[in-house]
Amino acid sequence: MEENPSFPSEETLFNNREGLETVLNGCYSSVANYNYYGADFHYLTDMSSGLYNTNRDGSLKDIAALNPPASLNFVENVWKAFYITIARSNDLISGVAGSALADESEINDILGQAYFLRSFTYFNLVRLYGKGPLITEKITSSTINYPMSTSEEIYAQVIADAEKAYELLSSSGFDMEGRPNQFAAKMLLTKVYMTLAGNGTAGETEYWQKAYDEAIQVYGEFNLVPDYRTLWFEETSNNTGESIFEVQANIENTLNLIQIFTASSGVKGRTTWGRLKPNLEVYDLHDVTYPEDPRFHATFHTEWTKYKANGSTSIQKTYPKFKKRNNKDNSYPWSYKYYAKDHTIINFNSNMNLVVYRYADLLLMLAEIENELNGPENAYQYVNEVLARARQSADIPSVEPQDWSGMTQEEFRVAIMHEYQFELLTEGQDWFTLRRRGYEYYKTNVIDVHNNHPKYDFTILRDVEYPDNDRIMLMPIPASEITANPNISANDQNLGY
Amino acid sequence: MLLTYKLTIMKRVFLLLLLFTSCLVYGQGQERITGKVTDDGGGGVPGVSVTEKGTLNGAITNFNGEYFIEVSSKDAVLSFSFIGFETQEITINGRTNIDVVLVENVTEIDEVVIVGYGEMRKSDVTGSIAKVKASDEEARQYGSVDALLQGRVSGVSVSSNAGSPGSAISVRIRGINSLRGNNEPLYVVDGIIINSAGEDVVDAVSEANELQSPQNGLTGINPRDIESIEILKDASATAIYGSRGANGVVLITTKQGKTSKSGKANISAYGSVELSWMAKDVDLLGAQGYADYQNEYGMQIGNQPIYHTDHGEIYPITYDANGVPTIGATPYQQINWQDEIYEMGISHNEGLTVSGVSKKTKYYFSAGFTNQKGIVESSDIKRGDLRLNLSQNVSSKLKLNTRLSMMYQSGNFAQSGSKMGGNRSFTKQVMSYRPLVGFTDEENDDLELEISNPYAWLTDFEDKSKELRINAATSLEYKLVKGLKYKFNAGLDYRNKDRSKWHGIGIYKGQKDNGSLALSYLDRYSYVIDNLLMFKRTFNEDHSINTTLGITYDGSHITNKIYEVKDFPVKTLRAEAPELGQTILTPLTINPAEETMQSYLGRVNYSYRNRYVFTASFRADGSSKFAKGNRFGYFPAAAFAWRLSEENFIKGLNVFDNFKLRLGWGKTGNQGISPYQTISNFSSGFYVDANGNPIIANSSSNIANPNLTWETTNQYNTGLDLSFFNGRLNSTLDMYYKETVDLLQNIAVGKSNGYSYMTTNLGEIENKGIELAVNGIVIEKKDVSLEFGGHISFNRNKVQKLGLNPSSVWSDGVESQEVFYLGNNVSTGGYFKAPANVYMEGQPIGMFWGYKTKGIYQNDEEATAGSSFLGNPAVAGDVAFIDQNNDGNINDLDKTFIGNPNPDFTYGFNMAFRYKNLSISMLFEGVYGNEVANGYLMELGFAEGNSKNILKDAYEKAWRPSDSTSPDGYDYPRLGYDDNEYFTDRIVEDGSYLRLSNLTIGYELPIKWKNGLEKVNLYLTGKNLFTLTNYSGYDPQVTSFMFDGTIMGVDWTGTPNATSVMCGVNLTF
Repeated sequence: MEENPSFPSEETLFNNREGLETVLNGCYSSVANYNYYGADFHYLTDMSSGLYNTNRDGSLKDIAALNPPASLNFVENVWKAFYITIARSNDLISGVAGSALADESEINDILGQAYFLRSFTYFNLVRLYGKGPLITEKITSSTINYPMSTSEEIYAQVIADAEKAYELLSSSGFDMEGRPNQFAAKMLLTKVYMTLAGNGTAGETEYWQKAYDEAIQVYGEFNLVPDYRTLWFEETSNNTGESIFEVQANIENTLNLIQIFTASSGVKGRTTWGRLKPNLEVYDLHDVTYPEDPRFHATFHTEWTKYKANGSTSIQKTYPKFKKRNNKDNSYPWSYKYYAKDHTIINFNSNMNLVVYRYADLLLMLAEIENELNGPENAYQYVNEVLARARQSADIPSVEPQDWSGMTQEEFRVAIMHEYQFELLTEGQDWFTLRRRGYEYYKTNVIDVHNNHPKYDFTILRDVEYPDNDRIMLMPIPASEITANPNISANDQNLGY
Repeated sequence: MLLTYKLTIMKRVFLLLLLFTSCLVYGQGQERITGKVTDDGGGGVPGVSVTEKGTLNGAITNFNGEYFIEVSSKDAVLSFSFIGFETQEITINGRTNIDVVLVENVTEIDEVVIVGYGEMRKSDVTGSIAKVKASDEEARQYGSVDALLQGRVSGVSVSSNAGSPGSAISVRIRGINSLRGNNEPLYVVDGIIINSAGEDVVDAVSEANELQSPQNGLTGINPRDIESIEILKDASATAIYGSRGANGVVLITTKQGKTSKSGKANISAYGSVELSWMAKDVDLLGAQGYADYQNEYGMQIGNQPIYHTDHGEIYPITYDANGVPTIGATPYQQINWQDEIYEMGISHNEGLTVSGVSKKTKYYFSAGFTNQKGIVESSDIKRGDLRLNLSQNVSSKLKLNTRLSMMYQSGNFAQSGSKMGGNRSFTKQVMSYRPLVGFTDEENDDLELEISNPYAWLTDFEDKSKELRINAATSLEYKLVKGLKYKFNAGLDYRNKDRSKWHGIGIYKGQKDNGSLALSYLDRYSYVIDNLLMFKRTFNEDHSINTTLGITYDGSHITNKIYEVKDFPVKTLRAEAPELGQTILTPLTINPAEETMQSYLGRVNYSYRNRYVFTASFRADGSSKFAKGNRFGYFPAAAFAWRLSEENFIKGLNVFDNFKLRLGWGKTGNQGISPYQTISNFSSGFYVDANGNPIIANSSSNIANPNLTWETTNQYNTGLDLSFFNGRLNSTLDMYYKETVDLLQNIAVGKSNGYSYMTTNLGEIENKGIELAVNGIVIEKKDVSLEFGGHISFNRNKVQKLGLNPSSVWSDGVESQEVFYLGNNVSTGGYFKAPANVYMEGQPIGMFWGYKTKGIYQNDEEATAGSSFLGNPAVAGDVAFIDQNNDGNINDLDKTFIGNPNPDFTYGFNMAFRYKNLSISMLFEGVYGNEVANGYLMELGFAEGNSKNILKDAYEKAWRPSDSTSPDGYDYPRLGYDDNEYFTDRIVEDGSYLRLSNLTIGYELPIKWKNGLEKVNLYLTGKNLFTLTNYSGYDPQVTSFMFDGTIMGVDWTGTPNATSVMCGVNLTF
């Protein structure tokens, strides 16, 4: 009467390298899952970033209006996806500890990646939700339902894990294409310290310094691809020298970015949704700052082909050419980075990976850190590397964006924050970058700019006015966690929800 | 009953005739006759009285059953009679040796009740057991056993939908025992456990928005072949099935060959044709109403009207850049989609049975074919089945019994709804799709239809299934000594099913995937091996003992295979050519699962002077599903019955023919979870390497729970059986209380655990109820008879304990701390993406949980005074929500009880009337006091302003801005109101109904047939002829989420039910 199941057991998976690799792949597959970078993470963070509108009418009243309910599926799903990744990393880390491979240094690269993924995901979690249960062990039936931990406890774990990842990955000399190496851990640590620094806390300078110490080690370890435009075509975008951390995909295991970012009926198969589209002020800011920036046309799409049911097509022109406000198709521009480049495709499956961290981001970060620590003098060099590449990203090199010089520290600070948007819009960083400098910054630079944009008509359905409410600095703790976890109560809900 | 009565009359007539003839021949010469009288086992029967008809001349058989008699003539008639057997009269016809096989008396057989692992005299039964015996005429009208049970027995409720042939049927005995969903009873056919009522292939469609429509798992048992069905309701009867008895047990006995008086085979053939059509449609806007709605709303939001009506035709209006309108030349096609899509289905069914007895062999053979059409053009099932039951008396002590049945069916099913609803659901599209359709261009007649239009669901969707089912059982019975026998029973239930679902590009999913195909296979065999020792004897006439002891071993091997592929460059071959799919979504995945169970059982039934009857039973079950230490469960039961009618002080009253009081207690279990829950499971998926190649990704898929054990139900039952007027009026009253503890549940855990659910033993629920069944024969005369029967059952359930932490709940401004959890979200789409049910301590199971409303804000003052909804202030014409916590805003905290899906009572009654050759029978069934959440109304009941069609009333009675409030107020919110995706009491409706589920008129042709044809019986049957209900949806019998215990009483995927008329003929040769 003993059960002999046919699925692999812990013994077969954790006691040899090949089995362990498949478990590590399991950790990555949860990062690529629909609820995480496959789709929902973009919905949640982009839609509520303050930079996007949606043609998903249901969302116009909630997340696109910076008003996320605790029971919203995107709020729920992303939380769930984070914790699945964490649980799988925990399974691997605890599984190795109890296995025959525990003392073998040949698996340091595998362990290192598991620590990286755990750190990376807790970091996403603590920034988005502010807090959560801190779990670092395999869940068993007797340890389920952990209580809340504080943001400080989680940050401490994020840092410890990232450092552990760095140590394990560097000791094994690991550098496998398509996988984060030790410098990805440094990139992560840089972001952690910048986030901690940006909140105006007591240890601000100390954190900027720590951020610098991490970032400078990554400097020169990667390189910018020559043409910015090639980052957005599946033939050329995958696993370039610019990529620091990248989620892998193919058509069978596709990320749903094309579906989300391509206009509804924007491909022959009419299978795309057009769910995320940049706000007018986002388009305008780039247009006003660098009208000749080659990145501009790689980022926005204002003329597109629409397919009707009978197969006929028509060319549609969006904002700014299209003037009316209440139109699902055209009252907003489209984001081009993940837009279907070939509109004759039937379905949205694609081989395109998602680059989560790339080197251009690191250069901008390094510039920002340097400016915060010592002023602009030594900071220009980093940002100008990014700008130089941008100018080259056209058939005939452009004059814009010109190299920076002669700024005050404050001017530099304002400019660099905009530069993140010009370089990295829609790449999953917007929500975090904009909130890193606190609610006052967010209100002034996002909410007010949006609400005061003259073209909007907030009396109609499509345009959404943003509320002035600092609760939007965090997402609500998902309702199901409060309901189903007996150790978490309504008192644990984030302020304002 | 009718049939038996008829036989008795015929027998009497026959007897008189014989008497008459024998008188005529009296007084002729002496003849010496010898012979032997045996029972059907071949053993000689001593003490049988043998008499020459019409004389006093007689003899008695000796110890070996042999007799010798001298009769007056060669044409004399011998009569053989013996208690418990039918008296037989045989004309000598010049023979000198006449052997006779005695035939058991039919009425005596009626007195035997099949119980778990044995049978008992009815008088010895101590538990609550109901017997269903349908006439051939009735049985042949039904395609499955569970459908046959509908409305016939107290305490048994059956949900099904006749509009979709082959769809799942759910049977509940005495309420809801567990919160896990599958509360189906255990089915045992001829002693072999067939535990598959809720079983189906694994859904191969990986997309969570799709919902595999459940199909009936109880295939392969044709009601035609059923001799009787006993339903074991209380624990004293079911505890012998131990860990699987908690939901009640349905024991099915198939037919055996019976001795006929003529000694030749019984051959009968039957055939029927059935027409079925949609029983009820939903009152939606017609084409004109729809055009008015669109125009009015369009103008309300500042657009121009787009429809123009002229002489009943509706034309498009288009506007040029300057706003100058042009009326189109071609009018729209006006389509009532419900009429267009649902049509009459024509089904037919035919078969043959041959049975008989020859010396030591009894045989029963039957074969049949059914072609069933649903009310949707694309749905049909073809089924062929056959059965062979053979019993052989190998020797006077050894008896061999073999039963073999095979069934093969293939069918296509209409899509019955998706988790998402909207255009993902066929049924929904038929209602919502706009009734005005244009043409793509002037020359062609091609309609301009969007993706997932109702036609596309007929042409571009396939859900095909093929199934082979084999049931085989063999038993060997050996008489050891008097009263003691050993029985070896072995059986196999084999099921092989494959199901393929194709979505073509006319349907949203197919378009998205460029054609997608999901294949699922189920290959399952389960087996039973019983070793039973049975002892049955009466001592000194006062003590009668009936015991069973046994060791049984059973198990099942299930292999599920799934495969999913999409992106088809060539789509014409559909499900036939999975190799044409270019993108594999799920590679061939094989999931075998094995479970085994070892059990020890025993039962003693002791009766003293037929007055006091005691039964005690015990079963120990060891299941592979639980870890060592929790593996064995012990299930005792005890019961007592007092037959007061045997006591002199009752006998003296001369009122009761039977007066029996029963008391019983028992413990039963449930282990209906998937195997491997106590250990860590790993499942495989994919990640991708840097070269774009898929690589295997393994991850844990459950939280192992080594502490899992049985869910246990303790049940107390007390019953009273009464019988009056020579058995013409009978009644049975039962009261029960049962308490289920250690509920096996897949409880939601915080998602922070990395899992959403964990299987665990948690919580307690109780069910209590009263059941009453009465039947009476009002008239019983030669030419006329009239019978009535009826039953009613009350069941109340309650969640007693959940073992969770309390949370805050508001009701009418009062906060309380309650322990509860919510059910699963009904939908994955925009509407009803919320749980409908709450499971709260102290409350009935699955109460509806949502927002209470109080009509519509009739004017601005009311709206201003009202609460805002999720932060948005209300305006006139909005739904007025009730603010439970009085904080001025409606949100999750304002959810409260808005209905109860549990009925107050269920009932049924039947009538049978016969006049000469004509018979009429009726069967009514009903449910009272339950509520149904009509999920369809969430869209249909609101004039939201999109292009979907809605209820007539939702538009016509919608709130409109006017100077004065209409005298009675408006019932429906304003045009453009779109907070309708939330669960409110607006969509909760009374689900009570009374249905005439069967009306049959039979007629036996009064013609003397030659050429072997004995009897011709014609009948006309109407099923589901009318339903009295206030429910506005298709059918108050909810079939959505049948096997999901966390969604109750929600009509989300409901399909129209069918009314049908059938005419059939039964021929007996």
